[in-house]
Amino acid sequence: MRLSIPAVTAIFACGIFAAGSLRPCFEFFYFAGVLFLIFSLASFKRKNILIVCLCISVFALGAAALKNFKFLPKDHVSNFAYYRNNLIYTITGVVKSEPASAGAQSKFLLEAASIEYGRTKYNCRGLVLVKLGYPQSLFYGDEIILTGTLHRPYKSSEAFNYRDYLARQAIYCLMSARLAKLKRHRFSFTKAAFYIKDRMEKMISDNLSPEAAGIMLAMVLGEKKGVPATINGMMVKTGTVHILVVSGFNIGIVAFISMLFLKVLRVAQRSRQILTILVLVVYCLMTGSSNPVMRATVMGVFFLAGFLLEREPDIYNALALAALFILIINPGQLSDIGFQLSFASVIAIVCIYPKLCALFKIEELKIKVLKFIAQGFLVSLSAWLGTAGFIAYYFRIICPATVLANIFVVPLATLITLCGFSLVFAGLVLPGLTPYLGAAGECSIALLLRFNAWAAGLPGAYFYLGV
Amino acid sequence: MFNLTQDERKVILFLVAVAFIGLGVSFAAKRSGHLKKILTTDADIGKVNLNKVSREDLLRLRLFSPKLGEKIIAYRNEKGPLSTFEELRGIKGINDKRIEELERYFFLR
Repeated sequence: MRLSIPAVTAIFACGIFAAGSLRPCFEFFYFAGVLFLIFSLASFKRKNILIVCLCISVFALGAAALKNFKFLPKDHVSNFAYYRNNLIYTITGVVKSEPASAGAQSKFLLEAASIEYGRTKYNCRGLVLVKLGYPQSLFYGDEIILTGTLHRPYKSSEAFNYRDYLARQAIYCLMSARLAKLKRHRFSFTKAAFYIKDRMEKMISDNLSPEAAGIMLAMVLGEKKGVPATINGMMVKTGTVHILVVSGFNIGIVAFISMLFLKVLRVAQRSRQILTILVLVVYCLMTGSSNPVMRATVMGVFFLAGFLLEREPDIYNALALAALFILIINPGQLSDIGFQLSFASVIAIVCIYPKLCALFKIEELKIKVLKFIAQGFLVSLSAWLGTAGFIAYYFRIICPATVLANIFVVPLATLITLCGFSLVFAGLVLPGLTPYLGAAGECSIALLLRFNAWAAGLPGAYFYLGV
Repeated sequence: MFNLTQDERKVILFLVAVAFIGLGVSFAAKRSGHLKKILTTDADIGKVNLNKVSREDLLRLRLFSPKLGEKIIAYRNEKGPLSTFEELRGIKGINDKRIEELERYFFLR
């Protein structure tokens, strides 16, 4: 009996899942985990007993991690908030996300340091989701003082539990701020990454129409604010909305461009690999460190580290390590739809695709174009088989047109993503090329949207399961 | 010269090819207004026909509260297909801001 990384990850995840529905508190799981760890140390020479005790210990560790994540300390900022409250609070803290403008409002996360109401000031901690009633030039890492009302989020509706959605991101209260005073700017690595992202956004927006720029920004930088709701809805109906998410393909392109650029500069191979790992980390921070990007970045770093250490990388271990990495940082992500869909699709492609290739004897196809199309079809089919259940459960929609739509959409999306990265790269090195790369991207996006609109209009393209 | 691998050479060829395609698209769009419509993103693509959208699809867009969405559908069913968005001003909750949103996300045919 062996205990591999995928097994450890699966047991850890089971512990998190069980803790979500079990009543015992943190202390129970913690001491159970420590006890079985001691048993495993005591039975070090008996392999099977060691593995069983380690499994139980890891399970208890996962459960304890979730209980700890959900436990809020007494000085957590949410303990000062109520569901309905007209008190005016003054909170000092640090901006912990890139501020996003929504019309006349700014929205961002604040890591609270102190809170004041009445005439009393208290030290506190925790994240607050802030809506500022007017646009203000704020950056990640700025230390600010906010004045406004504070309240806890409501459930919102039966279909979507906003309160639980925020809780999974460790956000337990909201603030409607009327006034923000900047205390000081602070430099950080993440702030530098967001600055680079802003420059890239500007390069793309300057060379494409607003709708096309919105789509390219979503594909290249994970910035979905510019994608119209109707286009997003159209892509949900054809099951192609996954192309608007930054994922492993983007990480692969960034790694490739980085390695190529450093090779042209005659940087030694080991240094190239180390610098590329840094570039991937910066890209991950830039795109908001969402689950698909985090997964792909960890896997990319794992593969590059494999080359550095002269060890053969294994895709299952890389995937399991990525999942473990995310769950250790935030155990609540196990119940996040993005986490589940991201890993389900990759696991399905890794497991099902080779079997489908063998079944349909794809490798024996002589015509390269036909082989390419067939492989694309089978990758889409594998991903669809792995995610259809989740999509039907969460979004109440089934899209039979998905597999067919993805055969054409995925290559187009690939071209658009490559155009986007080329545009940004050319903006730095050969600015004269950017209008032409922008025009090629614009044309590809126009084709993509027209094809999507046609596919969404086909009879039987999608079915809703209830309202 | 740089000892590039086959994949890296393909990348450079790709960049040059895309630049040529972009140059052609840019020229064609300047030359003909009709070609420009085909080769560039249509701002109306993805917009929904408010006269034909089903109640479920309208509510799924989450642009209005369910109550307002129901009122719009009821008005359309009673008065027939709309010719302008201004006709909806009689509904409580439809103001200038809502008319702007309607024009951004819907068309009438």
